[in-house]
Parts: sequence; structure tokens; C-alpha cells
Amino acid sequence: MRRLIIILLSVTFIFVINLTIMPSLSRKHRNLKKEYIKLFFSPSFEKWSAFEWRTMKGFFHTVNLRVYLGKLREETPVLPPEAETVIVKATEVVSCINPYYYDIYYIANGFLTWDFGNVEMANKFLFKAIKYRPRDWFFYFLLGFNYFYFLKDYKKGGFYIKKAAEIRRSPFLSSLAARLMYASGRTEVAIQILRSMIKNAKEEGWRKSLSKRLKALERVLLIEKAVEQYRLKFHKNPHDINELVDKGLLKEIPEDPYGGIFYLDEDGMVKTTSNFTERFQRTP
Amino acid sequence: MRDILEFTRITLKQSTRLRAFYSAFVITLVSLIGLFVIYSFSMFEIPRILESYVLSYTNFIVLLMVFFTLFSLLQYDIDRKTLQYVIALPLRRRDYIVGRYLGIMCFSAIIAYGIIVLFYPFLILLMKQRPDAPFNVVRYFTYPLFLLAEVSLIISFALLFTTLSTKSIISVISTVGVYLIGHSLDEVKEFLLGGHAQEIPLFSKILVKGAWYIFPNLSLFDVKLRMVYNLQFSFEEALMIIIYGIGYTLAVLVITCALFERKEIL
Repeated sequence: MRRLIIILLSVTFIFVINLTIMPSLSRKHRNLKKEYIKLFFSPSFEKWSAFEWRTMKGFFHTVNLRVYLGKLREETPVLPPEAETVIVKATEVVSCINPYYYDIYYIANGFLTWDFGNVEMANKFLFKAIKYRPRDWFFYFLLGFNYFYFLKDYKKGGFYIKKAAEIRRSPFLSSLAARLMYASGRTEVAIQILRSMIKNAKEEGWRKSLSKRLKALERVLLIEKAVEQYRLKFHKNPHDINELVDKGLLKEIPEDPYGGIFYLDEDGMVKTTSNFTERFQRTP
Repeated sequence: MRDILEFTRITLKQSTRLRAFYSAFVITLVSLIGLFVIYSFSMFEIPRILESYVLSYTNFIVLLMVFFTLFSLLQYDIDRKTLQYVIALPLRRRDYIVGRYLGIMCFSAIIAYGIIVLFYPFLILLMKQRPDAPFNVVRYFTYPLFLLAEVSLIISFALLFTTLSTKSIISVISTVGVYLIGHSLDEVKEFLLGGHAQEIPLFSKILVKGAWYIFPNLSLFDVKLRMVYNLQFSFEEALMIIIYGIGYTLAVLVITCALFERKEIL
């Protein structure tokens, strides 16, 4: 009987401390975790210390990175510059521990290009991915996309998407590569890529951010099509975006989900004052 | 031969008495949940992630169980003076070493293949949900052979240190040391030959080179990346790795037997 009372008291004690002390400790621990992720050692040390469990260490580092970025995204729509350093460090470490790991290259490319505009670094990681996985069409595809969409290098963009098309044997990619050679169809391709990224995004924060970008690009495409119709009809570029509404080619000027205002530059290209970020607003 | 088999049987029986099989089975059942958690956390190439989880888990649990069983038995043999009792028996001393070695090897093989087989249906079930990467069944079932080759080396070193030392803790530390060195050799050598070569003192270089030629290179047996990512892995290379493991083990066992034959009754 006495023993039973001791056991019951111990169980009650465990419940009490889990209800009282543990939640606040756990909160503190979670906050500290945000700091832990910045504390990567050198890639070679991380590789050595993984011993026989490289694949799993790479996996857990990647999951930690996703959780860290997902939480940051929930807190603020604009990722702080330190997140870029964390992404670069994490990718260097994980790609050294397990250079064949698909997810890390995908995440690094997604964030470095769209959120930080660090296309050079994203391409560096993609080249590493291609070195270790030369038969994987998707990395060629991302590289090609980065070249033509972000760096406006249509020749290289077309070259890498052609490579992807050869591996994948995809008629869509082949025609895309051909179109890129003539530097056309940027927005449409961006929309396709964003759709596939949304499909694969697991974190709600990231999915929301990509969906917002998709919405913005779909609206850009709508205006671009109206501009194209204007050119066909009047053989010149519209003076400004309102002319498209006046001529009945657009019902109304769509709203920029980032809070900016769409406008046309001197070449008739669709631009926005938000530059598709919440970071700054540009004057048209 | 009969004595060897008897020692093998006793070792297996002692492992069962330590509840090692039971512990491994219970931990494996719990870690099956991990398979589903990892499945939900992965973005791409689910079969590869799941397979690497199973292989890494098998590796971890087999090593854990081997270390646990080895050290429990060593403690029993050294600290309780069973070893002295065996020496005093009218038996060939090497039979004890070989019997112990075979017993722990059988124990490791049962655990390794038990886990691999137990996980297999769940792996297939989850892979069918998202078959976005290839899965090679032959490689999956071949992996434990490399793990067992590594374990074989660790056991032979543990027996060698048991013969040499009078305290079980010394054999434990020495065996763990061999394991750590064996897995670090490749990395350290790569580091020394890499960009930092100029800054490293000559003494350290000689030390590492010496260790390179003496200690077993255990990282050779870590073939998980090759298995999971279907990387090039010829039959000849696989065979050479196994032969390396068996050859090294035999050499260490011969030294152990020779030393044990001359061990004095204290």
C-alpha cells in the first residue's frame, strides 16, 4: 500500500511539473533553437562528426532549416538578412555531409533567389547538385530558369533548359528552351514553376508566400496579354497602363498583392512599384 | 570444433539472458513510428529518405547492441574472473576466443537481418504512396553484410583488448577508441592532404600516416549512400570490402588467440 502511494505521488509530481515548469522552459528552449541553427561548424567537421549517419544528419539539419524558415515566415513577411547567412551555411554543411540530398538544393534555391535575390549563390549550389546528380533534369531546369528569369541571360537559360529537356525527354521543356532562345515567355514560365513549387511546399508559411507571388505574376500575365493585343491593334506600345482600360483591353487595372501599383515602362514592360516584395516601394 | 560451438551457444544464451534481443525488438517497434514521421517530413525522394532511415537505424541499433552485449560479457569475463576460470579448464584457449567471436557475430546477424526484414513491408507500403525515386531491393538486403563486416572487426578488437587488459573499462574505452579512429581516418587524411597541409606539423602528419596503416578503415563499410542513391558500386569493389573486413578480422583474431594462449593465470 505504501509503495502504491509513493508511485502515485511520483506520477502526480511528474504531471504537476509538466504542467507548471515545463511549458515555460520549453518556450525558452524553442527561442534558443532559433539561435542554435546559426551555430554550424565547418562543413568538414560536420561531415566527420556525423560518422556513419550522414544521410540522417543531413536530413535533420534540413528539417531544422525548414522549421526555422517557416517560423520566421510566420512572424514576418520579409525574411531578415541573417536568414540568408543561415541558408547558405546550412546548404554548405548539408551538401558536404550528403551531396546527393535533393531537398537542400531545392530549398536553398527557392529562398536564395526569390527572397534574397542571391542568384549567384543559388546557382553555385545548383552546379554542385548537377556535379553529384548529373542525370537529374530538375536542377538543370532550375539553373536555366535562374539564368533567364533573374539574370536575364537567355542564352544560358535556354542552354540549361535544353539540357533538362534532353534528360527528361519532355516536349514542353524542349519548346520552352526554344522560346527562351528568343527571350520570350518569362512570366508564363515563372507561373508554371511557382505552381509546381506550391504543390511541393509543405510549410504553410512558404506556401502562402509562393501563392502570393503566383497571384502577382498571374496579374502581370493578364496585363502583358493586354499589352500584346494593344501592340497588334495599334502597332505601338501603350502610353501608360490606363490606356489598356480605356481601349477595353483590360476591365480594370489588377491590384498588386504586394501593395504596389502596376505600371508600364518605356518599353511596354509590366512593372510594379512593390517590385514583388514587401521590402520597399518604388515610384513609377 | 564442438567446444567452439559450445562457446558460441553459451554466448548467444548469455545475450538472450541480457535481454538484448528483447530490447532490440521493443526499440525497433517504437522506431517504426519514426518511419511514418520521416515520411511526413520529407519533401522529395521519399523512398530514398525512408531507406536511409532504416539503414541508419539498423546500423545504430546493431552497434549499440553489440557494444552493450560485448561490454556486459567482457565485464563478466574480466571482472568476475571467468576468464581465469576458462584458462584453467582443460580446453584449447583459442576455442573460447573463436566461440565468443562467432556467438556475438550470430547475435549481430540476427538483429541486423531481423530489423531489415521487419521494416521491409512498412517501407514498401509507404514507398507505394509516393514512388518518386527508385528502390533497389537487392542493395537493401545486401547492406547488413557490410555492417556485419564492420561489426566483425569491432568484436575482434574487443576480444584483443580483453586479452590484454585486466579491467573491463580499459577494453571498453580501447574498443570505442578503435571505432572512432576507424571512422575518422579518411576524413583526417583528406584534411591533411587538403588546403591545410602547410599548417600541419610534420609530427602530426607522420602520426596520422602511421595510424592509417595500422588501424582499420571503418568508413569503407559505410556504404549507405551508395545503396540509397544507387551509386556505382561494382561487385568486385563490394567483394574487396568484405574480404578486407574478413582478412583484418582474421589477423586480429590470430593475434588475440596467440596472446591468449600465453596469458598467465593471475
